[in-house]
Amino acid sequence: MTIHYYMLCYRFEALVASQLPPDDFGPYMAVGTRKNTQGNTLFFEIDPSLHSTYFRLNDIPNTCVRHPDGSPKRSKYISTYRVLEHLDPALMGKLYLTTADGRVLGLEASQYGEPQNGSGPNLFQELCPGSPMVVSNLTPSAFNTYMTDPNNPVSVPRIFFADLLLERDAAGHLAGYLPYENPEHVVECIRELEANPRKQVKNVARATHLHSFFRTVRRGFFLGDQNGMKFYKFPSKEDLDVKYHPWWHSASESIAT
Amino acid sequence: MHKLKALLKSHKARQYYLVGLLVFFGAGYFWTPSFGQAPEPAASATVTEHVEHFVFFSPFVNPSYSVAEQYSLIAILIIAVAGLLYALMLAKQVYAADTGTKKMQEIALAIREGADAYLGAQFKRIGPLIILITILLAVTFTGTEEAFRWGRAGSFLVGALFSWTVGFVGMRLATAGNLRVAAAATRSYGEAMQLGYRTGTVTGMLTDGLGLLGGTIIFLIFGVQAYEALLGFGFGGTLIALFMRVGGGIYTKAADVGADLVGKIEKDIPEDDPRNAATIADNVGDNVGDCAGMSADIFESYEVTIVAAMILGMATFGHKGVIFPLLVRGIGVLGSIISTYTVKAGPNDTSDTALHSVHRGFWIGSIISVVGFFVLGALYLRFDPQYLLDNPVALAGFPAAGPGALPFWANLGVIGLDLRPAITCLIGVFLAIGLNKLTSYYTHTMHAPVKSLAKACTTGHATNIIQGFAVGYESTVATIVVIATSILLSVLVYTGTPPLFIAYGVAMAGIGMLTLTGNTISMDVFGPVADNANGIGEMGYDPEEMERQKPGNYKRARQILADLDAVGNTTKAETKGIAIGSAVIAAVSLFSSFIAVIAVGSEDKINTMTIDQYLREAGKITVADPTVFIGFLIGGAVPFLFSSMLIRAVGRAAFYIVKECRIQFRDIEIWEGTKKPDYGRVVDICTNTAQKELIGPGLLAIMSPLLVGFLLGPYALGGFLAGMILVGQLLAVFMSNAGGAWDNAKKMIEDGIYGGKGSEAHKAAVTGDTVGDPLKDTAGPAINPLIKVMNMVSLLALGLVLQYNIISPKIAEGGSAASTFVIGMIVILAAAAAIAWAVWQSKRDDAVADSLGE
Repeated sequence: MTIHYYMLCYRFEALVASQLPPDDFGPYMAVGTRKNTQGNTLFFEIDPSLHSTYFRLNDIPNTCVRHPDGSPKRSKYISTYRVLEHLDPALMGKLYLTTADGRVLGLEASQYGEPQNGSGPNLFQELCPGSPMVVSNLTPSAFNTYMTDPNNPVSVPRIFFADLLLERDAAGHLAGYLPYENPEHVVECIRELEANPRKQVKNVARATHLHSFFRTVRRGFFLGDQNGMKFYKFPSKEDLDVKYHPWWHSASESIAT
Repeated sequence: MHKLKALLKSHKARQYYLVGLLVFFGAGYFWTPSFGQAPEPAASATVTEHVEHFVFFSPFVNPSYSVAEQYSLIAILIIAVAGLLYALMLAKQVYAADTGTKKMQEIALAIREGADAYLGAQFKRIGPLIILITILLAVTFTGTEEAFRWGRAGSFLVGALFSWTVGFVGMRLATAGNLRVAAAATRSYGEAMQLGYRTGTVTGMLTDGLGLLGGTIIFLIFGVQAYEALLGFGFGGTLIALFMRVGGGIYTKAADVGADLVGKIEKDIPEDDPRNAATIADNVGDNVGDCAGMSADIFESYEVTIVAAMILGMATFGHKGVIFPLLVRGIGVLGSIISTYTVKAGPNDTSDTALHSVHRGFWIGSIISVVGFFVLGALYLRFDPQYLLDNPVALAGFPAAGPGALPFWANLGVIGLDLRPAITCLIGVFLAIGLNKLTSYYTHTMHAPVKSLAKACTTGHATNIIQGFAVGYESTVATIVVIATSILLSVLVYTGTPPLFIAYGVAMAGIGMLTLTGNTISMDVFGPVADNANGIGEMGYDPEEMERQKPGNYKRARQILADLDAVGNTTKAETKGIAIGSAVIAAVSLFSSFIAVIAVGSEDKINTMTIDQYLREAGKITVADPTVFIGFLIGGAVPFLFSSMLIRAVGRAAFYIVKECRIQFRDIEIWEGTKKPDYGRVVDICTNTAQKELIGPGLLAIMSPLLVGFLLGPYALGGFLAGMILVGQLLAVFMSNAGGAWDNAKKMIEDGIYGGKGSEAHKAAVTGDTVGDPLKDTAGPAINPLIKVMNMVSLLALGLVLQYNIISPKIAEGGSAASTFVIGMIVILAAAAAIAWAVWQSKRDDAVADSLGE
């Protein structure tokens, strides 16, 4: 039976081997089989030809095997620490977004065309390795470069983040439908950023509970380091309503984090 | 044995059983005249004397009825039948509409089967009870006119059957209409909206038609002595409405709460997700609660208001006082036929224009009705000297100098003309509009109360609850002010006349209020139809296929269904105020009948009562009398106990559903969506628990007036009714409006304020909605029929209460004090035991509930 490799990249990072294909692995991670686990799950499918000196992969063909009752091995954890920085982005395939009740949507990496007016303020949700929410005057690609720059006092070797909706009304308040915790603080951070053009990033929350997370995604997801950036475009509202209706219905109705 | 059991459980056997009961009911009714005409052994000289005076179909043989009146009564019958034919025509239109895809049909079928199973089970459970009560009504008859013994019992059967028919047909149509509305939404907004509204109109016209038909036929058979039969007719409808309201309320909220607890909270899956085993039960619940329950409820209001008006009409203005309410109702049916047909929408309309069309229909109906009242009044309400000579009590309804002394606004300068009944009908129309507006103000998202609740959600769960209580409490005061104002206006219209005439004015306001019952029910039933259609669209539409056939069609169809759902929520909420208001008006009118019966000592002598007798007895129902005060206190407490029972019942039923859903979710194939859940299991659980749970509150409603009456006497029973009407009305309005406001505050946030769905404010709003749900959909609406059932039971048992109460019994000729006391005590003990059992039953802990933590 084929062994798949997945990298979990939301709330904690982990490299996992599994005999389940992505569409089954998502529901398994979101809801388990018999346990009442909850919450959205994001994971990358890793090229099965994965070879690494960092991860212990040699034993996997012997340990990731069917159960005695014939059912597939659902998860075999390989590593739960500093996974993202040790995986070559070229090996990272589709990104799977799983809702709290196990609906799975796969996104292919695509070319990111930075819009002319892409500079801030932007609201970014870092997803891996840390998970703070920040506002920034930088465009997504500039933010990627900034955050993975080793000369920067606060940097990470590689980053995975999402670009979030940040609609504001004439008075500068956040649009009513955005479910951010403490929306006034988001606005305060934006104002601080606007008042100080030299400041490029402002932390909004160190660890965010993103209620209805998928409902807040704007352009999509970014995976990058100093060598480049992969972009996973979030479907348009039109496509979400029609092509991906069951997933979107589940994602937009869910109140899970 | 097993084969026999299987046969009994089979669908066919159930059908045969239902048909059998129907035949029994029908036969019982049509048999009644022969029972009445059968020569009875004369128990006393008085009885013989009355038998000689009573004649069946007196309006056609009694010379005091003019030919015009006889033709009018026939015209009313024709109008009632026309209303039913109109309903039939609309039903055919609904059934002829497109039924969508196979998947949609499967979902609709599951909902329909669940709804049928529910009503079938309810019929099985309450059918024997109805037969028992029929026999009891016949056996316990204390009047002297034997013709009324089976007239009362037979009319009870017919009232119950009509009420059940309205509920059943309303629900059946709704479960057929929902599918067709979902299918029509893929083509045109107007078509979908019109189908949904017409589905509701079928039930509305059925209510109109059957209510008018029943009241008119009873009057034709029994004439001015129809009091007993009318009471039986009203009681039958009311009792069924109570059971439908209670059972439907428990079902709908248990299914809703159970589905949400497991689906949304535990599993975090959206509403209407087909993997949730409670989804179909939830949709079934919308039909049994909002269609069957509400239709039966308004039908009984329709019945009871006409019963009250006819009874008081007889006791005041004689047969003109009886025929006029029937004529008004006839005009109302015509108004509803014309106005409901004008409700239409264009292919690209929106919820605003659709709502405008529904409201325009209501206004057109109102104008037709009001013009009709006055034209009819001007032609018919003429009181010449001969009529006043034949009906001497009627003279007391005019100023000292007679009809000629009426002010200009009451007779337009025409001697003998009395337009006051038409004016009080107009007050009723204004009352309906006032209550509509008030309910809308306190529960609609565009007004300050709901906005304040949504804002309160930003500071937490508790502040939302606190604000909701404040809004609900305030709304009760506003409603009381509107109802009291309308009663006051009726008092002013009849200034200078005895209270009984004022009560007739109030009853006529009730008639005016429910004139447009056809429109009201159309608006109400449209709500669950649109709601279900939205659910069918959610579960049954194939987005990719629809987009392939016509780009943009799926989104458009979903938008249409969402818009219709929003319109339905608004129209449904608007009608709730009318249901509660009509209960109070009817109860106030019946209260006067109650005093009248005490005054003359027996129901069949009510048309012999003098004004002095009435005033003397009314004066004895005073809180200065400790027993009356005790009755008043107990009456005020009963709606609370009743509500407590219902809310506990919802919680208990929800436990069962949660347990079943959890078991089904453990099946990985169901969870993955590759296997269909066993929806039928949850539907069965809801059906059985709802049936089981309705017995306790039903017993409380029937037994508590008996307990008070036999234990504390008739005046205490009067106090009991007064306390119950006041507190019941306040509690019902509070629960309906607070619950509606919490619900809409949540919707307001979900539509995109204070963070929208998933925000902290939304969580607080969900808490408020959860608290409000059993209040607004179970306990609150059930108080309407409760008020009337208690009134009816009190009226029907009053003869026995007067005779056998242990405080001041009127010992019957040939009876002894000891035997009277023993009979009284037996009733008291039986009633107390039944109430104690009901309370115990409502508090019991179930093993299922205990096992949930495992």
